[in-house]
Amino acid sequence: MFEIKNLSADIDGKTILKGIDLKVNPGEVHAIMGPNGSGKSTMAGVISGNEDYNITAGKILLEGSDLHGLLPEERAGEGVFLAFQYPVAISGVNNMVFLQASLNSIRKYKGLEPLDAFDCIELIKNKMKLLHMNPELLQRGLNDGFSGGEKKRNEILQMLLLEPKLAILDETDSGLDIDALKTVAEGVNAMRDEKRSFIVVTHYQRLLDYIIPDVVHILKDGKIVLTGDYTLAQRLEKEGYGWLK
Amino acid sequence: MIETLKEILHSSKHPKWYEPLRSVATARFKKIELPTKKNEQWKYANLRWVESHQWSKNKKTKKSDVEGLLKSYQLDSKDVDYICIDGNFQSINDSLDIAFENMQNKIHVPSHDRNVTLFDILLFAGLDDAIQLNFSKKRKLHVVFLATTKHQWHNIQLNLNVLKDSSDNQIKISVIYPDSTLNLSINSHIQSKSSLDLMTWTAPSSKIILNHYADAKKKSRLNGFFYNFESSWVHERHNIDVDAEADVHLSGLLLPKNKDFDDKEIDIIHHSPKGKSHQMFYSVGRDKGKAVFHGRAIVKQTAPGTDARQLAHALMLSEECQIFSRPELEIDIDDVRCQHGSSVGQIDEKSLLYLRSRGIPYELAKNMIICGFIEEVILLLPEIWQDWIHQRVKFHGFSI
Repeated sequence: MFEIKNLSADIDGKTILKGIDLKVNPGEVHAIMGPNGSGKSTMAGVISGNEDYNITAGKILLEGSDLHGLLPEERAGEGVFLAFQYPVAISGVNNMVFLQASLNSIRKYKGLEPLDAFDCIELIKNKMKLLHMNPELLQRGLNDGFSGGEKKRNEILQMLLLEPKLAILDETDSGLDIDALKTVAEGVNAMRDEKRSFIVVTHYQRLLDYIIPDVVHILKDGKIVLTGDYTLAQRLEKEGYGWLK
Repeated sequence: MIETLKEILHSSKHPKWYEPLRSVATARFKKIELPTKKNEQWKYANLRWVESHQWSKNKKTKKSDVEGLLKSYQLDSKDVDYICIDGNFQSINDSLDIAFENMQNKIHVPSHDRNVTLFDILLFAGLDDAIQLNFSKKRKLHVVFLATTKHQWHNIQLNLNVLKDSSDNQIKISVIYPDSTLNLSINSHIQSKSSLDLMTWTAPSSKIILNHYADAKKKSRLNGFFYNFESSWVHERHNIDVDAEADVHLSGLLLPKNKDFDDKEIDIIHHSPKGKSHQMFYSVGRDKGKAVFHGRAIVKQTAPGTDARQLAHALMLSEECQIFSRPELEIDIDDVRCQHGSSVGQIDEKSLLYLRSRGIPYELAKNMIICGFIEEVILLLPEIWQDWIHQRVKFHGFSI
């Protein structure tokens, strides 16, 4: 189970998160919605260990262990995965080399033997098929020259490979056409099971039409101000955020 | 300091015809002074090491010394075509084209109107050996310069003559001068419709002064790769003349660490229409290393349609390393396409966070980013040389 207790965080002295409480049970998908600047991406960054943010209060617990003080790579090893809103491109780092390094780093953290190159390629190519990805993308630089859709698919590919306990999708739907959105959602849905939790950060209901959430939260001014079911997302789509106090 | 350098004018075997030239050069050497930091091209160079060295005379070299030294640098003599051991050329797997004895009219002491320095003149006053290699179609050579003992200084000239209409020629030059110095002059003549790939690599703790003059004739192509990033002290000058529709690409890596110094100064001069020149140099500074890139592309009025580009990027990995980057364009005509760019920075924190968020530990993530940065230049190499350079990069402490 993933739990956030009274989490507050700031950046450069400016308070962004102001006491967030959240509990995501294994197998659940929680959607976080909210207007621009409400702290959605900050929350995702804080959970994944972005050191730009300073946690001033509260706890982040994954299966009862506090993630506070763990490095980003250690959090990944513990099973936290963040699909970035803007995945970075690193032109000289080969995508295949990156995926293999990532996969084996996580395996090492878990005390497992590394996979050799042949096993890695086979595993990666099988996952790519699920996402209808062109295998040629493996030979390119990491996200280098990738279209918006290719970058987001590459994020989901990493999620499929690393099999996290908690996956956070930070506006994964932004910049995707409807076909790419469906493919990405298929990838996420393929991973849904009773052990894994998802937090889906989004502005729009359309992603939630394909990844049906169990719970929807509205974040405003650094706090969760309302929690409901899928119908809350539908209401936001129709009425916007104006009615929230 | 000049007194110290006079020791280098030891009596090598010269052909008779060379004696007058040597006398002229020696007389000029005695008049000329060491370059100082007032000269732009020596602005960042520290020459104090010249004085502190005790230069030793050439000695007889044992064959076993040579094999052992090559092996210690992961080089196999079977893959070497020519070797210049302690200042003397020998042919191993190929026949020597034109030896020093037969190079009359192919060696000229630089005249006063060139921007000559004491080291240029020293090269001719104390010339140890010289050869000319002729390239016809698809000739691939590996030339090694080797000093078998410390504190040696050798002055060598290498002429590369690429014959007309001959393509796919390659020459790899390895310099193994541990705690010694090579003063090397390379003259590349790329005749029309021919091509040459030229790469230099220098072993750790070597010092090299490289003067490279190239003449790229009409519709010829020169790819120059200068990867002597393991040397402790490098001063390179490239002076390239580009003829009509000739295509010149120069690239390299500067990876100074400890107190290494690597200075690359490049002048590419476009004299005729529709020539192309690309310069792409990447630096990674560590410890107290110093890297200098000063590239110039000069487009004369007689060269419309020229395409000249320069790109210099640098990563600084320590607070005490120094990077000096100066890409310059000098254009005398409107109808040209010219670009230049330069960046100096540290490792991108967003990239680092991204890799770490995928479980990759900090040091490995940092190394991957550095290797990725370097890889952009390595990918410009012909495939056959890429693995070789990857090994050298690994030797230098960067590997994924």
